[in-house]
Amino acid sequence: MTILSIKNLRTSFAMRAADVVAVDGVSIDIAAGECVGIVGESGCGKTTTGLSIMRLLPKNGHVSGGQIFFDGKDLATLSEKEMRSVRGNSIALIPQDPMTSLNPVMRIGDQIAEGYIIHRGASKEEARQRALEVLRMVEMPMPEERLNQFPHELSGGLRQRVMIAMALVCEPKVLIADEPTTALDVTIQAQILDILDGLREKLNMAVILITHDMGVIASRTDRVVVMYAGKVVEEADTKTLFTRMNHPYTQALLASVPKIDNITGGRLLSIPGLPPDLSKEIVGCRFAPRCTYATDQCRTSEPEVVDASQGHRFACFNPTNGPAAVDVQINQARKAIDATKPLLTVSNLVKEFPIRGASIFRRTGLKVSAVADVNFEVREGETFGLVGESGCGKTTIGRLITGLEEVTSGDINFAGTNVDGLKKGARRRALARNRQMMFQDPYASLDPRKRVGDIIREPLEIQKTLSKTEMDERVDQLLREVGLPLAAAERYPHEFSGGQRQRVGLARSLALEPKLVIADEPVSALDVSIQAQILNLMQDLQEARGLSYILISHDLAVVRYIAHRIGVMYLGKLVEVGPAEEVFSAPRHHYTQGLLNAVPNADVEGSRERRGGQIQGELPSAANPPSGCRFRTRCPAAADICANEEPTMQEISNGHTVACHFPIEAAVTIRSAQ
Amino acid sequence: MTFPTDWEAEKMAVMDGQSGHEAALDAFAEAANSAGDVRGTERMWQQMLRVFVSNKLAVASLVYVVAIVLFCFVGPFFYHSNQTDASASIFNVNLPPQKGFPLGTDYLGFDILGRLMFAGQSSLELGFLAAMISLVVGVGYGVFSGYVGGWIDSLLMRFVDVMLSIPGLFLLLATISLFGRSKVLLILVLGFTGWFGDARLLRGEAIALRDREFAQAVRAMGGGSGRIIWRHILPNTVSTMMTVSTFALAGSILALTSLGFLGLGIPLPETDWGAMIQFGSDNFQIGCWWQVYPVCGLFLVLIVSFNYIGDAMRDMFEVRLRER
Repeated sequence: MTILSIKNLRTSFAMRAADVVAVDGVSIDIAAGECVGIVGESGCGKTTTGLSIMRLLPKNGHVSGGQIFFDGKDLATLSEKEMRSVRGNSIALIPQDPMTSLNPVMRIGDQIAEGYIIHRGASKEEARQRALEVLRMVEMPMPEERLNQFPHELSGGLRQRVMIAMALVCEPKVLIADEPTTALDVTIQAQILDILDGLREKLNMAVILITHDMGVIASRTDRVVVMYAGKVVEEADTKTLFTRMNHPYTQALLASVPKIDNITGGRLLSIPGLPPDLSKEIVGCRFAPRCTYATDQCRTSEPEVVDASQGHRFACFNPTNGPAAVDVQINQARKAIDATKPLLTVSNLVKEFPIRGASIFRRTGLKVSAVADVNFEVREGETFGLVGESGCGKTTIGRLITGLEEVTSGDINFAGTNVDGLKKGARRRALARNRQMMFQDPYASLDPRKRVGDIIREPLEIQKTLSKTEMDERVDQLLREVGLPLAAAERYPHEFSGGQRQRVGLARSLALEPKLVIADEPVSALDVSIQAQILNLMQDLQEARGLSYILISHDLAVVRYIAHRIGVMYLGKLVEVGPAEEVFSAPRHHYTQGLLNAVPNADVEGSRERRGGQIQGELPSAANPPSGCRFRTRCPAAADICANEEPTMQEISNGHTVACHFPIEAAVTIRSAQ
Repeated sequence: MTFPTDWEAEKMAVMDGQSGHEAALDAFAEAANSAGDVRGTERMWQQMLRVFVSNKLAVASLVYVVAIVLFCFVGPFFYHSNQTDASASIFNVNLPPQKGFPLGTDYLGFDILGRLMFAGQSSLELGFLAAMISLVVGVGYGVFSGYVGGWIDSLLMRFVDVMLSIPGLFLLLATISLFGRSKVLLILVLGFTGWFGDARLLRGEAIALRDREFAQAVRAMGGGSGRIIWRHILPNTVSTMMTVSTFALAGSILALTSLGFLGLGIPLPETDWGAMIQFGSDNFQIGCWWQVYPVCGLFLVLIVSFNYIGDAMRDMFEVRLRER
C-alpha cells in the first residue's frame, strides 16, 4: 500500500545569478513499512527531496512543481498551519548532525515531550510518560535518568537516539532519516541502524533513508532510488540495483566504493569530473560528460525514465547490465613492495593531556590518557593504516609524529635524521623535510586568502632549499602529478571542488619530497566517486616516489584498500597490528572483529548475513580508562583477568601481534578471502 | 568528447608500452579532467567588487562619503570664504541664508558653508588618524593576546575589560584634562582610548584562526609563529579589520564631535563639526536654525554611511559570499 507518493517534484532555489532547480521531476512511491534509500553524490538533491516533503526548505527555496500525496492530501498545496499538523506528527525527520540538532538548554525529557504536547494535546505528565516510553523504545540505557539530563551530558550516539525518540514520539507513518549515522562511529552506527530497523517493523513505518554510504544502503534498504543532478536516474529493489543495475552512474558509483573484502592494493574505478552546475541549462543527459558509455545521442537529447522490469526504472540510452568488470591485471600491476627496512619506529609512546580547570589558578591534576604506551614501526615504501573509533588517539599519534604535539614520554625514531643537537625551531624544520601531513578537511586546511601556487610553494619557502626558479618548476611538476591544470596555481582555494582541494593538499605535502606522509582521514570529507580518485592518486605517487604513508582513518574499507599493514587502536592503546590481509580476514582481537562486523558492506548478500558479534555500548572516558584491558567493558570474552592484568602485545603469527588474554582462534573466524 | 576514467587511461598507456608512473602521469595529462575543470574565472578583486556593488546602500554611502571628502578638502579652492579674520566677520553675525552667504553665518560672522568645509577638514583628519592608531594598537594587542593564549592572554584581556568598564567619554575627558588638547594630543588621546573593543574582536579571530588546519599545516611544514601570524592570521582578519576600521572612523569622528560639543574640542581659531553644533544649538533659541540643520544632517548621514560601508566591506572579504 503506497503511503507517500511523490509525483514530478520540482524544487528550486533562488540564487543571486539564477534559479537553481535542485530537484527536477522526481517521482517516488513509498509503501507502509518499507525502507527506501536515496543515494547520490553531494549536491544531487537527495536532502532537498527530503526537506521538500517536510516543506522545511530554506527561505530561498520553494516547491515549484509536482505533487506530494500523503494521506489523500497534496502536501505541496497545504497551508502552513495544516502542514504543521503533519510535521512531526505523521511525517518526522531525523536530521544529520545530532550535536547541533538538540537545544542545549532544554532537558532531554522536555524536548522529546514537546512534540507530543503539540500534536496530541497531552498534559505534561502524560507527555513525560510517553517520552520515557520512546526512550525505552530506542534502547536508551538508563532512560529515567536521561529525562532530566541536558544534551551535553550525552555522547553523539546517545544524542542520535534522542533524535530518533523525538521523531517517534507521535508514531509517524513516514520517517525521513537524512544521513542519520554519518557523524557516528561504525560500532555506534550499527547500533542506531539496528534500532531503526526494529522500530520500522514494530510500528509498520515507512522509512526514507537518505545517505551517501552504499554500505548502509546495501544492508538496510528494500528499495533504492539513485539520484544525479536533481533527477532520478535509476530505481530498483536493493538486490537488483546492486547486481543488475542499468544506469552507468549507478555502476560507476558502486565501483568506486572501497569494499572491506577487497584485495588490498586494488584499483578503484573513479568517476571523472564533477556534477553539472544546476544554475545553467543542461542539454542532454546530465551524466553524459562523465559517462564512459556516452554517445552523441546522450549529449543532445535527454533520456526518459523507462521500466526495465517490475519496479525497476532507469533513464539511459545505453544501459549497462550489471557491475563494472574491474580489470584484475591492473590490480596486480602494483609492484610488490620491499617493505623490510624500518623508516619510523615508535616505541613506548605516551601522550597525556592535562584537564584544565575553569580558572587560571586551578589545576585539576586530572589527565586524559590519549596515547598510552604505543609501539609500532613503519617500513620504507609501505602504507601503515591506523584505525579505530573517534577518540582512540589515532589523530594524536599523527600529530606527535609530525611534531605538532610534544611527546609526554617515549620515543619516535625516524631513520636518516639526527635532530638531537638542534634547537626547537631548527629541529621542526628538519623533521618537516622528511615527514609531512595531509589534512582531513580540504576546506579548512588551505588558507582561503592564498593562491594555490603560493600554498604549494609555502613549504619550499620555509625550508629555503631551492632557488626561485626551482621552486616554480617544482610547483608546476607537483600540479601535474596530482592531476591539476597548471592554471590552477593562479586560483584561490574556493574556486576548487573538495576533491581538487585535497589534491592541492597532497601536492603541498609532497613539495618537500618527504619520505613519510601522514594522511589524517584524507578522504572522509569527500564523495565516494572523488574518494576513489584521491586514493588511486595516493597509490600512484607512492609507487613513483617510494613514499611511506601512515593512513589514519575510521573507514576500514578505505584502509583495507590502500594499507599494507594495519594497526587497530582502542582508547589510546594499540590492540592489534598485522598485515592488512590477515587482520581483515582473520582478526585476533575481539575489538577488531567487532569493528569489522559493524561496517556495512556495499554488497547485498555479504552484509546481510554477517550481523553477529557486534560491539555494544559506548566508548569509556579516556580520563578514567578501565583497569587492565581497556576494552574489557565492551568485550564479549571478558573475564576476571582482563580487569586485573593488562594484556601485553604478543606475536601470534609472523608479523601479526595482538594484545588480548583470549585472542580469537584463527580458524574460527576466517572469512572467504576471495 | 568522452573522458576516459583514470584507470582506463592508464590501461591504454600501459598497453602502449609505457610503464608505471610515466603512464600515470600521461594519463593525468591526457585526461586533465581527472580533477575536473576549475570553476570560477573571475579574478579575486572582480568578485569582491561584485559583492560590494550588489549592496546598493553601501554604494550610495560610498558616493556620499567621497562627496563629503571632496567637499571638505577640494571645496575651499572653488568656494572662497573668510574663516579666520574675526575682525572682518564681526559685521555679519548670525545672518540667515542670503546672497553671499548661501547657508547664512554663525555667531562670529563666519560663512556656514565655508565653515562646514573648514571644520570638516579637521574632523575628518583627526577621525581618520585616530582610527588608524586605534586599529593598529587594537589589532596588534588582540592578535598577540589571542595567539599566545594562556595566562598572558587572560592578563591582557582583563586589562581590556577594566578599560571597557570605564565610560568612554569619561576616559576621554580625564586624559584631556591631564594632557591638554592640541590637535596632535587629541589624535593620540582618541586613538589610544578607542582600541579596546577592536582588541577583543581581533583576539577572538586570532584564537579561531590559530587552531585552523591551515595554520597547523604551516607548523607541520616547519614554519614558525611569525609566519603563521603575518602570512596567515593577519590576512584572514582583513574583513574584520575593514569593518572595525570603518566603525572606528565613525566612532572617533563622533567622539571628537562630542568633545567639541562640550567645548573641549580643537581650540579656536580652528574648529570642528562638534563645536559648530554646540554654538549652533546655543543660537537655536534665537531662531538661527541654519546654524544647526546643515551640520547635523551632513554629519549624521556620514556616520550612518560609514556603518553601511563597513557592512559591505565585511561581505566583500567573506570568501563564502563570493562563490555564489
